[in-house]
Amino acid sequence: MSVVPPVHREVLVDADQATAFEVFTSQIGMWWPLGEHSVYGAEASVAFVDGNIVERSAEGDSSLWGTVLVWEPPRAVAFTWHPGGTPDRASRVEVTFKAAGPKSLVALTHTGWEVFDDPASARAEYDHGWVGVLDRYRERAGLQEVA
Amino acid sequence: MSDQSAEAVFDALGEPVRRRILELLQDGPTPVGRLAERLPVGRPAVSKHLRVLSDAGLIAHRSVGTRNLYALAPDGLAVAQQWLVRTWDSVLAAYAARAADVGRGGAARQGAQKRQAGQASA
Repeated sequence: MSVVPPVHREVLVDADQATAFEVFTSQIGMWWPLGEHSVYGAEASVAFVDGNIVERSAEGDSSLWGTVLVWEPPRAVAFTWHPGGTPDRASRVEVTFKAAGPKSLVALTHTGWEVFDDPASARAEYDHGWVGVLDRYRERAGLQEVA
Repeated sequence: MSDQSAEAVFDALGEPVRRRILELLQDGPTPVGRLAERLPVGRPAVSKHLRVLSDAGLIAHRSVGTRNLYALAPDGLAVAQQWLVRTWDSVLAAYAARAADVGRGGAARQGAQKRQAGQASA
């Protein structure tokens, strides 16, 4: 369940599937509109580097936009998404590339606004990890042993 | 929606407890106490989260008599979603233009250059 439903956009691209994948990933710096959407502005650069999407300013500062979760050329790429933010607040972007004759259908899905229905899991999420959950299991196991 | 307010909205949405508050408010205007009962954090944290959501334009505060209610801002989330759609459309248009250029191997550009050279020498 999500307060902001996934955003899904598609575009038909005049290139084969392998080219479509390569341009999106290896050539992201050749087309991403940095002047409109970036941390450092039009003079910066952006690239996929060692499983991360990194923007670099002209002065050499860098900003991590996200980390690759799925890398399956030429079919799909997915990554966490937090440009200008931190990984603990990341959403998720998945891009798929499907051959459509000589062209490619490229679909982008932006998700990650989910809400947790179960208050216990919301608490675990808030605790940022499994440590809190394991402690509670240990407590309960301890009580059972005494009984 | 400017990039600055978009950042506030996505920062607001990036926190799971705040998303839970927005979900609870889908049922309608709710008093702070009732929200706090259903959240895994203490009352001061709830107030802090409500302030962040309000500053981001996602919720609005109402006083009804002595009751202190919060409600979803009518267009708050719709604006965020529309901004996302427009942003990705513009990003994908730039991508598609580049992919088409590469896909066509720059052949169209070479053809245009040859035609220009032909006209210059005529």
